[in-house]
Amino acid sequence: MSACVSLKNLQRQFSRVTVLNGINAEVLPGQVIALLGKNGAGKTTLLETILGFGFPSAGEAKLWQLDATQIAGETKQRIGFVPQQDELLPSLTGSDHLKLFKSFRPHWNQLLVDKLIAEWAIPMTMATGKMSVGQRQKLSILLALAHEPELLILDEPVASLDPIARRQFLQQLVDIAADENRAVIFSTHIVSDVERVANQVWMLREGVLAYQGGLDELKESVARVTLLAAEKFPEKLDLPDLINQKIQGNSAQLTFINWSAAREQQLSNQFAAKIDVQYLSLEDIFLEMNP
Amino acid sequence: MNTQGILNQYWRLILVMLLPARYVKWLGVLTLAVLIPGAILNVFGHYIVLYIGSAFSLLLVMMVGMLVPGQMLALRSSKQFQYMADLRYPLFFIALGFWLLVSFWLSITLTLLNPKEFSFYSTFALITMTLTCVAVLFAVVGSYMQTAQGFVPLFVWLVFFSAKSTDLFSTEYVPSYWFITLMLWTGMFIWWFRWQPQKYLINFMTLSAAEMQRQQANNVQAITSVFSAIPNTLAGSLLVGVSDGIQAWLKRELGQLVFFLLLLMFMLYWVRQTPANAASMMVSIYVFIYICVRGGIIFQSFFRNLYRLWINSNYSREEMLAYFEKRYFLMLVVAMVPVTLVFVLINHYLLNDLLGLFKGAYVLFIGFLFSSLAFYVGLFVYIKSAASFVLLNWISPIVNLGLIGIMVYLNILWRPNPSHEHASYLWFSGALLMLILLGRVWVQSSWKNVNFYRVKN
Repeated sequence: MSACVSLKNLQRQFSRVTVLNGINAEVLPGQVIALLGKNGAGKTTLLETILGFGFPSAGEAKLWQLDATQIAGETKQRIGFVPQQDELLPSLTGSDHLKLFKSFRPHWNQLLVDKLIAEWAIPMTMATGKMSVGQRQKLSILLALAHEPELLILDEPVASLDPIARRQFLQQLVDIAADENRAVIFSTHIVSDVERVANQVWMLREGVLAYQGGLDELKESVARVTLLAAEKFPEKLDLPDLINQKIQGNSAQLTFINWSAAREQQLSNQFAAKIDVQYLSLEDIFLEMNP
Repeated sequence: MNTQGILNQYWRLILVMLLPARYVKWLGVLTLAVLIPGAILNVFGHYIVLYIGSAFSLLLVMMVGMLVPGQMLALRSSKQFQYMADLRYPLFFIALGFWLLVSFWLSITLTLLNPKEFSFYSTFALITMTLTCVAVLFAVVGSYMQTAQGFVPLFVWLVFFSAKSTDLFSTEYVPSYWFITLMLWTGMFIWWFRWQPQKYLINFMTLSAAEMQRQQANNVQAITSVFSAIPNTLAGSLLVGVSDGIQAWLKRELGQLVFFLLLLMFMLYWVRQTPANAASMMVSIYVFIYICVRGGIIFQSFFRNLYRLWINSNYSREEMLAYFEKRYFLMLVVAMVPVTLVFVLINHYLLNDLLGLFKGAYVLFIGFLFSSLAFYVGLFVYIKSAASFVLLNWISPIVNLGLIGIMVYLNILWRPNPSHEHASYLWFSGALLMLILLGRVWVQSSWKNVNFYRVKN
């Protein structure tokens, strides 16, 4: 199965600031990837570089083996994109937008469009400039879904949606994900949504992918270990894969990545301590990995 | 894609480019509704309706002409539309077709209206070149600095007056006009296909009134921050929205004065092309509008910030009104003084007393009265409409336009030969003063129960 997106040692710099630094990743059909990261981590820059809006400073970003900045109309028809802030024409109504987009799309699922308009209650006769942010966001998502793209890229798509619309949208993503020929990348701050739909996680920290892999693997690979020893711990521990530590006297709370069950016994022996291992929720993992 | 599909794409894009807003569609319908009966009546010798229809169509063309470059930039720079299709070719050719058609239509109209003065051959060439300049400037300037787009129409006026005075309609220049036009469109073509938009350039002319106000307020805030300095009082600074310190005030007024003089320079250029009585009228209208706009801008920032004054000051409701009135009129007078002084000097030394003493004084006086009335009308809107900014921007201009209409009807100031009957000036000012007093009494009586709002639109 060939990759829809392939990133090799991708770097992006603005003036002297490095926003993306040596990113290597691939997106395969059937993957639903949640892109997580703090504000300013480079999520939007990464998505826009994948889409070819800007040139990489080094490395490469490819869409179906083509240089992302060189893609033509045919490739663009295979992609659906929802930007963080919509860039619709304010005086045009929702219907005007649909008619215009439809005239440029060789493939168009009118049934899906009608269904989503009804479910999301989008006021199609209202000028988009007068719509609320959430309504415009729904329309943007609709325009990105209507031609059933093979690759769907969404930059914080649910940030402005109410809980009902968010749930409906996520259900839509699950349906898309069920079709194994399609791939989705979406950035978000709402970690609970990731657990509901994503099967892959990319965690972006300071311009590098601190984690990329399956959601379940991520949950299994991060553990919070509480050690209770007879003697005091040193002020700071230097252990492999340790990402966070809180030490208070003879008690230590340590968070590890790349955790394996074998390390439990090893730590217990090393510090002659009673050990308690706790696996974290995705939100806790996110917080631990982004201190 | 088949031909029908491509035609459909072009048709959709033409609609989006030329008729993007509801008001343009309505103006189009109105123009047709006047033009068609006008054309029929013209056959029977009644030409006035056709003339009115032509005026409407000119207005329509001007509006669409202003919209087209903005729509081009918006469609090209929107990331969502970039992922819909590569629109560069269709957008370029629709714009080119539109401007050529408009040039042709304007040339035909001018030639038919005044065949002795305008020959189609030279008029078409000159208009095509001028409109090409405008279109190219609008697009290129707008792509790099959107706020500077507003100055492009001034260029048209300058060319128009220069054309009349230097005989640019002469046929000897025609080949040069076509050559320049060709060069401009070629340059535009190359630039358009090389241009990489950095961000979404929204077309300001398609925004709703509320959104436009919001954008304008952001721009004003960005500009005024440059003119800021140490504040004098918290209450005063909250009301103005920026520092009320003397240094900040001096900087702001200096900036306003420069703006006033720049526009006046443009007016002076215009004044030289027009007869003296029309010139005097235009200059008095300019000074009057300037005062009213300054008053309006001061009031708008007060209108927005009133709720902040309530929570951040020690004033009771009654004290707040007194403070509010004092600050507004103080700022209005302060805004008028430097402009008046400079204008008096220019009028005497550069314009050879184009505006007589009575006229000059009356313009200042009537400007002050209009701004005073606008203040109480604005407070009326605040109280009655839960501080609707949109309503304020509808009602205040309507009141002002109504009063200006009465002035024109009574032949005060704004007619080529205004009345010299001072009694009518006195009656009008007296009535205006009465309205202001009535407004003040009403506001004072209603103020103790006023609700303060965060102004959202």
